[in-house]
Amino acid sequence: MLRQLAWRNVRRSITTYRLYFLTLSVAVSLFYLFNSLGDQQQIIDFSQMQLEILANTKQALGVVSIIVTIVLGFLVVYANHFLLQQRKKEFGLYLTLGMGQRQVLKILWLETCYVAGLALLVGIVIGILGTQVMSLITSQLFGAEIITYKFVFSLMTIVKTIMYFVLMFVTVACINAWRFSRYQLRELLVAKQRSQIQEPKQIKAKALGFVVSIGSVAIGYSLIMSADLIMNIIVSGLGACLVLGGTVGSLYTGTTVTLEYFRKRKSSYFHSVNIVVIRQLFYQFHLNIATISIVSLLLFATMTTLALGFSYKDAVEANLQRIAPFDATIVFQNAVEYPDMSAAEALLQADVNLDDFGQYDEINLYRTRVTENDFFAQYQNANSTLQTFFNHGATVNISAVSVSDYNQLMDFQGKTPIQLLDNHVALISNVSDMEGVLAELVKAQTSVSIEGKEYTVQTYAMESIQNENYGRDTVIFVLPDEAISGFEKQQVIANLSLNPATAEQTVIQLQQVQAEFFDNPRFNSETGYFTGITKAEIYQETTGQTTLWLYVGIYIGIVSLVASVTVLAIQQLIEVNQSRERYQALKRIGVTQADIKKMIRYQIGFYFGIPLLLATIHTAITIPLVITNVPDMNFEQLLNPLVFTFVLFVMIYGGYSYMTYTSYCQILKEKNVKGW
Amino acid sequence: MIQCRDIHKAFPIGKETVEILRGINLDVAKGEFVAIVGESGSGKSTFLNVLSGIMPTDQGEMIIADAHLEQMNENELALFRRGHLGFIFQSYNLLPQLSAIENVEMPLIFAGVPKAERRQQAKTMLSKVGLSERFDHLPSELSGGQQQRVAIARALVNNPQVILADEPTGNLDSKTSIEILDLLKQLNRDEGMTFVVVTHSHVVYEYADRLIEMKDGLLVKEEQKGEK
Repeated sequence: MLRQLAWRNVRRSITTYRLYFLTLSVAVSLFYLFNSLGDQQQIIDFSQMQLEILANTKQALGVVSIIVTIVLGFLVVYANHFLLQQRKKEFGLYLTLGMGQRQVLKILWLETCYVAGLALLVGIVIGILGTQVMSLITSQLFGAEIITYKFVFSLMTIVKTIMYFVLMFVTVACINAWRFSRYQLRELLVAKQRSQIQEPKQIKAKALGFVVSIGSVAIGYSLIMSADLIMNIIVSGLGACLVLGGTVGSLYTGTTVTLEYFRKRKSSYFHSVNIVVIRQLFYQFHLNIATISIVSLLLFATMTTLALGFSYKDAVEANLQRIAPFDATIVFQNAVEYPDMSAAEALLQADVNLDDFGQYDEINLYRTRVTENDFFAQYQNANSTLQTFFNHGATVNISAVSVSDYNQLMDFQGKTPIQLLDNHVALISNVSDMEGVLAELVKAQTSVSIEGKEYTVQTYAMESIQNENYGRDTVIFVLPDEAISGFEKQQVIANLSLNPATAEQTVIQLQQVQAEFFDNPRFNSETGYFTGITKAEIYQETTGQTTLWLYVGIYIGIVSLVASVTVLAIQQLIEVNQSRERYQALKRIGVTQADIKKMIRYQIGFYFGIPLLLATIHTAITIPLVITNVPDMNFEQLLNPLVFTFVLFVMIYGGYSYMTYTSYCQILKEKNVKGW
Repeated sequence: MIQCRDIHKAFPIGKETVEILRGINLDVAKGEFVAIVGESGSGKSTFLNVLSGIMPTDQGEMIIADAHLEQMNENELALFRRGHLGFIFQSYNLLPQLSAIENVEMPLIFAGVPKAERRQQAKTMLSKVGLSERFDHLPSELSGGQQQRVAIARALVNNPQVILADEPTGNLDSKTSIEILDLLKQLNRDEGMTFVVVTHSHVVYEYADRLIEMKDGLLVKEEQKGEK
């Protein structure tokens, strides 16, 4: 009978429980989906490097899953706290009728089991179905191909999901038991509603507080804008604190100010049902200010993560075209000891014939005595890249290449060569951040003394002279050939263009050669030291890593979004019971059902809308800030992520808001509000 | 059946402690129908809560059927209520998800009565209160008077020695109130149960064997009445 009673309780509260249940199911499915990522290697043709990244991704998502479970645990505890509060009288009745505390707890435990068990079942089924779609997305994001299609299913992930959620629910049940044991029977039986009407207090002080809060937000943002996002952590941090404090403050004081504003505008305050809606919203916001602040913050984090996460991935991958323009690069590092040897000659001594791999071009890299610190002295605060140099006190010597080598490399790539004038220097860089500074140096016709001779900066180009995992060449001088002759040769760089038909096979060969450079001592001691990297390796590594972080971002983002919206929904649905009498009274004095529905729509709309509005405003300020500060990010990349974020919010946030509205009306119907 | 000796109860209200019951002494005999009347705030509902063990006393002895309630812990009180007390509330307090017969079965479930037996007892009790046609109706499908009848059946089903009723006709119209009181009196007479009813209603006065008036936490007036 206790089982029956518990089951009936769940069914009876289905209107209240359905959003809670939906959230749990979504959470379980997301948990399964992201934790089953490793199983996708069954159908996707990952390279060795991608497999390593996949393993790292799996590990990172495992850690994130623990955090997600804790966050969900808090959400479930929070939801249960409200549900328990609502049912105090019912539990009091059980105890009065002679049910022992243990039996009441058993009912609670059974209810948790039913809801959790169903949510687990539904969530895992959705998760398994979602995994099939996820495989396509993963292969797309990793740039890998699906070898064979089969139904991906992981028993281990199911077991892991069940274990995590069962542990979470057991913890919640224990907290429920502890909470319940603290209730007095009398307290349960006479469980009173919270006072609904509160008069706003200290209006002038709050108006002042509101102005100060808005000012604090403005000052906070101006501090963040004036500071470099990455470098000046203290100023940025202070700015962020002011923004955060100001937002919470404005929310807290804003409720009173808004209420007062409407009260002064009597025509709108007393129009239709406004008076009831405004008072009710004032009460709700005032009471739940902490929750609404946290929800706004979570929504903001979700919006920025989703919008910028995809853009960042696009930006990083777009930058690959600049930092890895060649099919492969092999660098002969012992040019100092063998200044007359080309990379091809050196490799031939190690039984590697560059001609076997395709066409190649060699470029000699020399070292000057000019340091970056000297060259950029007057630009040391221009951007984060230079600030890093100066803050870390690095004294990196600037490298140089001859103009003929450089032009040959441009020709090799089908690009336009440069015409370098006598006594002039051209600057090249593959660090996006540097473009502005280089342009300034050209514009100012800056002169630089290189090995005792003065050169005027003639032009600049954003180019790479070899493949790199990330842009490292802050600046390289391109000097007339005759100027180079006395410089010390550092490296000989061979850049390869592979035959497209055999490129894939060649890449594998090259990777083997590269591995041998490190494994076989004869390359090190006798013939010299080589390094090299293929474009494919860089692409796989970069796309893999960006996908990893993107997945982590999406995972946390969606969970935060669902958790936030569930908290708001629960707060609204709990409020129905307290509002029942109010709606009944309104009906008695002639307010129509249509008007009451309108009131509910306004109430829910504003309650969900204000945190969303706050989050949107902050996101709208933050995104341009990030885009202008992070190299290679631009507003064009933002369009698709914004559309995705918008659609996701419409689906989840809009869907939950609408379901909250329909559930609200349904509960009123079930509570027998007259004429409903 | 019931013996109260010097019962005190105080509540903190704001920064002060207000004494609601200020030394109540009361004896109720087996089978007696006692009505406790008084104005709002006189302490009658608090007294009923203390009497049932829902609320602990601060001082004094509370003896029902030779058991000292003030010496029991929560679980012992729950067991005691299950075996000896029946409750009737102003707002019926039926479980909305259960049918009439299931509501009546509830106390028997907690008492461990086998399914078939408890179903039979519930049916008998519902028939006694005139609801033989409404076994499977949900509370929402019943009128106020019918719901209170279900609540009465539930209070009586485990054959308690004492029935405690808090404003049992408070939510009913006058015609239904009289029907309910007739029913309570009949059960009091037929089953020999002891009734303690807290009320505002003057109609109840006519059904009680004894009227007790409470004022400022004290029993101030007592009136023995003839049977209606």
